[in-house]
This record gives sequence, C-alpha cells and structure tokens, in this order.
Amino acid sequence: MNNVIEALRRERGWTQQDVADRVKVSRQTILSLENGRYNPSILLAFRLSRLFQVPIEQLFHDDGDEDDA
Amino acid sequence: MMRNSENPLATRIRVGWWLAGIGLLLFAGGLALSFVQPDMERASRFASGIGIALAIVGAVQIVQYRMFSKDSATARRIALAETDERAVQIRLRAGMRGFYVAMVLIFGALMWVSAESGSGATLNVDALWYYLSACVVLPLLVFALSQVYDARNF
Repeated sequence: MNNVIEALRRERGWTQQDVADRVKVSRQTILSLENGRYNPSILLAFRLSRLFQVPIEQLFHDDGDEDDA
Repeated sequence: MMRNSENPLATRIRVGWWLAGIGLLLFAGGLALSFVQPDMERASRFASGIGIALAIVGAVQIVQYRMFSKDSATARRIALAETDERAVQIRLRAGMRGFYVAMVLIFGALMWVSAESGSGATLNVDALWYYLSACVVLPLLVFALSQVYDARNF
C-alpha cells in the first residue's frame, strides 16, 4: 500500500519523530510506513488521518493485487 | 484510551521486587535445607542457585527501571516499545517462530525416547544436557534473530 504521509509531513515541517509522538508510535514505525514496508492498523490509520486532517482514502492507496480482476 | 507512560515502568519495578523477594526466599530456603537436611544437598543447591539468579534479575530490574523513571523521554520510549503496534507484531511473529523451533526439538526428543524405550539403552546424561541446552538456546536465538530481521524488513 502506498501513502502520502512523507509528503504531508514535509509540508508541515515535521520530523518523523514529531509524527510518531503525535500518533503514539515509534519513529521506526513511521519510517516503515513511509517506505511502504508496513501497513498500519485501522486505529493508526485513523489517528494519522486526524493528525493530517485528510481522509484515510487520500492518505493510503491500495495498488491492488495482481490476482484482482 | 490514553495509556499512562509511567505504568509500564511501575509494573516492571513491581515485578522486579517480586522476583527479588521470591529469589531471596528460595535462596534462604535452600540454605536452611542444607543445614536441616544435609542429605538433600542437590535440592538445596538447586533452590539456592535459582534463588540467587532470581534475586539478581529482580535487583537489576528495580535499579534499571528506577533510573529510567526519572527520565521522562526514556520512560515514554519504553512505554512505546511495549505498545507500538509494529513492535508488537514483530515480537509476536518472532515468538511464533521460536515456538515452532522449540516444538520441533522437543518432539524430536520425544520420538527418540519413544523409539529407545524398552531397548535397554542407557541415557547419556551429557548428551541430554547438551540437547536440553539446545532446546533453550535455539528457540531464543530464533526469537532474537527474527526480531532483528523483521525490524529491518518491515
């Protein structure tokens, strides 16, 4: 799943640690999220959505599996 | 629900006190047993040894987490390490892998003992000690390495 967390974070001049502190996770989790290596739980997705004030669907994009068709 | 960042530290300090207390009791009990029942030397040494180990682990935990509780940034980091969802997932996955390794080792021992049963073969105590050590060390190793691997790749 892709996301625009890094772009939104940079717009606001926040560090990864700033975002991590605000959504109560570790900086490593934010790093993994931005790199697309980790998919958040629904709770974390909602917290990020509230933090950046954008809908979840704008935060995360699912490219879809190759099997989907 | 917001979680108080000091709770995990207070819990760990409390666990430390319990470990230290139980350890000291075991140590004292083992020592007393060696005087009261000199012929039960093995049991008293075993109890004293376990007691010392527990007491040391408990004392280290108390000192360490008391130091951490004075630094709010460290306290927050420790609380996060417990609750951070990615860290929890990594630990769970590592735990499962360690469990599978332990089950394979123990099942192997069970099958071997079942096969040898009734054959009159004597158990090599040294070999048994090494095998039991492997049953402890290998799953722990898998648990630790799995966390390192997943922390880098997820």
